[in-house]
Amino acid sequence: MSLLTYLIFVPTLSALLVAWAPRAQARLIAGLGAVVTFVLSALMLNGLDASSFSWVQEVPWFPALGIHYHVGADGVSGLLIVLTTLLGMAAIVTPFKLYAGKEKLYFGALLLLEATLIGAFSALDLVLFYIFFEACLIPVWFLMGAFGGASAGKAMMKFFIYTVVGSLVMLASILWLGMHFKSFDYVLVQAGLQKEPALGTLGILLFAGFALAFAVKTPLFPFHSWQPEAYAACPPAAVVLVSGAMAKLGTYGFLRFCLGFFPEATQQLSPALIGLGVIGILYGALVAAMQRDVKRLVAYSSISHLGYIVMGLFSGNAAAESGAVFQMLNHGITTGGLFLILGIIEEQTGTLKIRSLGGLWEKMPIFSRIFLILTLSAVALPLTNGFIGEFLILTGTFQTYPLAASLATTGVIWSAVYMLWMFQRVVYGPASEERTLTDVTGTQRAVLSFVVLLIFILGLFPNRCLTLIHLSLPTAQLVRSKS
Amino acid sequence: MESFLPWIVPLLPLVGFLINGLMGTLLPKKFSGGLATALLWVAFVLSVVLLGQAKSAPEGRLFSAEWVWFEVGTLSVNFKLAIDSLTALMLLIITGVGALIHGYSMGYMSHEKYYSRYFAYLNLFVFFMLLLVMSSNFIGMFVGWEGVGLASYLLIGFWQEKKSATDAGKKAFIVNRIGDAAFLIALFLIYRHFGTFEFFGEKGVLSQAGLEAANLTGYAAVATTVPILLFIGACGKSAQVPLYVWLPDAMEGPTPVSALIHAATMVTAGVYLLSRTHALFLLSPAAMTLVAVIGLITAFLAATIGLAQNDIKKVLAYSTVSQLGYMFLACGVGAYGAAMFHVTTHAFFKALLFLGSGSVIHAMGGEQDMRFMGGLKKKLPITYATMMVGTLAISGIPGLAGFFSKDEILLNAFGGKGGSVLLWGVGLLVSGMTAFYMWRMMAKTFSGTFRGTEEQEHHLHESPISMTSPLMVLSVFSALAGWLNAGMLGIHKFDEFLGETVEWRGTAEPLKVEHGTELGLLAASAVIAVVVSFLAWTTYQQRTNGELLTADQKASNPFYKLVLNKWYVDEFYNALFVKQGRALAMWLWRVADLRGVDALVNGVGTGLQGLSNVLSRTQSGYVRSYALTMLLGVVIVALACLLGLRAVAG
Repeated sequence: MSLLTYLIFVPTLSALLVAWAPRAQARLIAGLGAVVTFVLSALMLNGLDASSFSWVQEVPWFPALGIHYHVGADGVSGLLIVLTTLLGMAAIVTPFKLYAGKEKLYFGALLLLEATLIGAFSALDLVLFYIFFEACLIPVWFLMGAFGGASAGKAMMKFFIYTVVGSLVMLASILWLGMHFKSFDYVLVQAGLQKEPALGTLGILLFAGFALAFAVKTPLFPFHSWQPEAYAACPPAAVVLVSGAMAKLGTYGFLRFCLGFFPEATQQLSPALIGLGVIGILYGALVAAMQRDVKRLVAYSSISHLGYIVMGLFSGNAAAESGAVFQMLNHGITTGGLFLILGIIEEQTGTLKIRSLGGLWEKMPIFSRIFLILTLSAVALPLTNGFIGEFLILTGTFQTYPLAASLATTGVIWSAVYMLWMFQRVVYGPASEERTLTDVTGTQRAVLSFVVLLIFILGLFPNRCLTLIHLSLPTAQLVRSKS
Repeated sequence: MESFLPWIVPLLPLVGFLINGLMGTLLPKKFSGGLATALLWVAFVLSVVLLGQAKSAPEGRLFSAEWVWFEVGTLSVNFKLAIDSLTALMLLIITGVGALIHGYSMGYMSHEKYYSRYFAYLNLFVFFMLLLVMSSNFIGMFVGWEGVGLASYLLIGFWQEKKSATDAGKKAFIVNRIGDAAFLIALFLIYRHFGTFEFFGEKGVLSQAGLEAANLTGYAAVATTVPILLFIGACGKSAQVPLYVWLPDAMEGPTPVSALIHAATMVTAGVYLLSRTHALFLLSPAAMTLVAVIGLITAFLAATIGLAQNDIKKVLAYSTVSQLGYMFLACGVGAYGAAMFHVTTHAFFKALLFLGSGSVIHAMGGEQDMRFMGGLKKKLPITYATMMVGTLAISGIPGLAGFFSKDEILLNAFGGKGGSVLLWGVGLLVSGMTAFYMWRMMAKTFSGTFRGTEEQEHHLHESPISMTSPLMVLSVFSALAGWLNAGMLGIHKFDEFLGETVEWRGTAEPLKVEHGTELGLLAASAVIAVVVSFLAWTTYQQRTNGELLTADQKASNPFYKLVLNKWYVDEFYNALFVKQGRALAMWLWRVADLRGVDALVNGVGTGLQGLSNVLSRTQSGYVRSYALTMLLGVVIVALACLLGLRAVAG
């Protein structure tokens, strides 16, 4: 069995154990499961050969329909799987105060979310991908419903409508491909499409089917309005996974399916997608600046950051594409870290309203320093991870779409505006007397320090990741298959 | 010739930052400050060694060991340092003046609770500043460039309970980022045509071969755009019109920080950038003219504002902006050497003046308003004497440093590339205003009667030796540094030192000014400096209350009001950018996002629900909301397609 199968299996099994074991043991089991999954994923990445799919396992599932259980990872999906297990571990291990009586649901749903995300990143069969892609909504739905409070209903409804509409259109595209090529296997379909003469309008429609689902998942402007409310309704640990890893399903999907299957349609539709990306960068940043709730602020800033990623993916330039994938990791780590930070703030102060915060540094010096570093990573300061990604995306995109890249470059101003303004209001200022704040200690401190360490490791030594990514890009693979 | 030695210089302050930053609270104060200062002195000694090595290296340039930072396909960025005389000059200023200011800070900040954090930030600043001037490529330079911005942000907002301080820090960072965005776009263009970010070497951006190769890919079409974008970057960092507004606010930071970052080193980074990349600037006369004109406007505008400020640090801040304008004027007329010479002398006398003002503020218990000072010369004799030297130097009194460097700039403004009588004339006017506001500041602070509270008067004391000794050292340099390049006496030490790195007075294009004219210009600037200084000083001596104008005169004088209120530039920016920007962002959120984009999906929901009674709904507000949604959709699609237009090749 492939290590990838174990990677899907271990968190699923842990979730079942959590459901079965006594409530008091839930945290321990979940933590162990998450750590084991992370270690396994590290081994998986270590044994990866980026020039093709590694850790492949193929088992017939519905042979008559050409559906297989087919998993495998290249550099891009390998790194995203490690990102998922890393964030899953951080989310589960960080001790947030527990909701009395709901531990089983909480940890079980988090573990299932992790398992389905790993499944989606490693699936090499279209139907299998679709199933995982949809299945990861279910645990999120439960988390929102159980912990979201009063406003969760509206957020869940929106989330549901958006994602279901998007996915149904993708399903149509998948079904057409499956019928046409008598197989749902990613590799076979891709090979078939390469031999196919120009698809023309049909290709554009198929592309659009996939693109819509991924645009919602990412989310790409103007398909984003589910996101701020969904994030607000999720408990902190879940947002870490949803924003850090699940959103990457969208950008990953763009790369794997839109670019991988339809190079021709990609070329035709790239201008529109890049345009939406640029609008998202500026729009997300401006709207983020106006938010009164830190969680929503970071949510809108995500729209801005993901705009960069989409722009880079469709730039047609290898440096920008690599930068975009690298930025997926960065966004996962930095935004994931920021949501952990926000969870801790909310736990200590009982609020995330910017107006009611301030004066954290005095009483939480270590926490505030970590927060500062994450903020700097979010504004892409050089020597942090964010700089490498943003710089590669912008430099690369500039070579093909100079106007779009120039406009996107002004994003470095807007990100400084909303992030530093937020940081000033939340952390600086005189300390409030009545609030008892304690600095982070123990596990919380260890997890956050680990995130900080990653920020600098990726910022200073990005090359191993970049090589893995570069070798796995569709453009690089096309070059290889031609030669 | 490659070695690891150059890396040690920036790594020393980085080590200091890490030690003070990670375990500063555990260390005794003396150790924190002592370590930070000692590391800089070591860096200074190493810089001298590097200077020697660079001078004997081939082409006068020493390269460090290098390694790949990131690489994708053909895009490759290395960590690599290069030291030539231009870099070495900056190194000596940064580490030398930096070490003095670190030492001064040990006294100035001794009562501070977050002492170790202060020194951590200060060391961090030096690390990035060294990276900025030592990097052998644009990216490393940009790392330093953004890094000093970060350190500046942290140090301006060092007293973080004060909202005005954190506001100023944020403003500095954001305004700098405007310049940085332009800088980045310049880098993308450079990469497109040169295919590398390296300055030197076979295909380096600054090499002849690199330029020829770039011209084959159509660099000529953007040969004006690139230097202008780089210059916008410089305008942010070096506080030039229209991006100068952050620097006066930056005075919220501790005074030694103002001396080091906002006078002697960081703000001169823009001048360094232009000097380093002068090969690109010299290709475009239009860009050169723009640099000269913006420099001159900045020098003039800031000098007028300096005439009426009452805060001692604000006078010095506007003076700094104005002097930086001089340096850009020099760059704009091709006199990069003169600009660097002024960077050097200015670093000495402006650091001296800021540290002196710090000593005054220290003695006054934090008071910065000169209206409540006066008569301090007896109580602060060393501060008074040393600041006197600084004032003589900056006013351009013959024999002191400022005279020689400013004269060099005015001479070039007259007869350099694109120089004219107009540039020279306005430059001379600014020099007169400089002398006036400096002597006004000295008189208001040190002469007349004391106007503060009795308690303040009781506490007045000269600063400790840790603070006065840097003042004395700097005053010696402020007096004598000019003699490195007394052009009219045939002393060209500084020219020879910088040599070809800035092509100053290169053999190709010597300055076209007759010797007689040169002497005339020299005499004019000397006379202006001496006469204005004399008049300002003697007039103010007679006003024991330190006021030249009466309250009535102030109220009725429109020019006074204009400059007192800083030409209302901040108000203008606030009304135009901050307020309008906020309104736009608010509209985007409240109207476009919540009612427009969101209505799309809510519309689907309600649409499904209410298909049966669609007709009854048409008269409600839904129609408008759908219409808005549709309109928005059309606009978005159109915009998206416009934005995404692929560049026409070539």
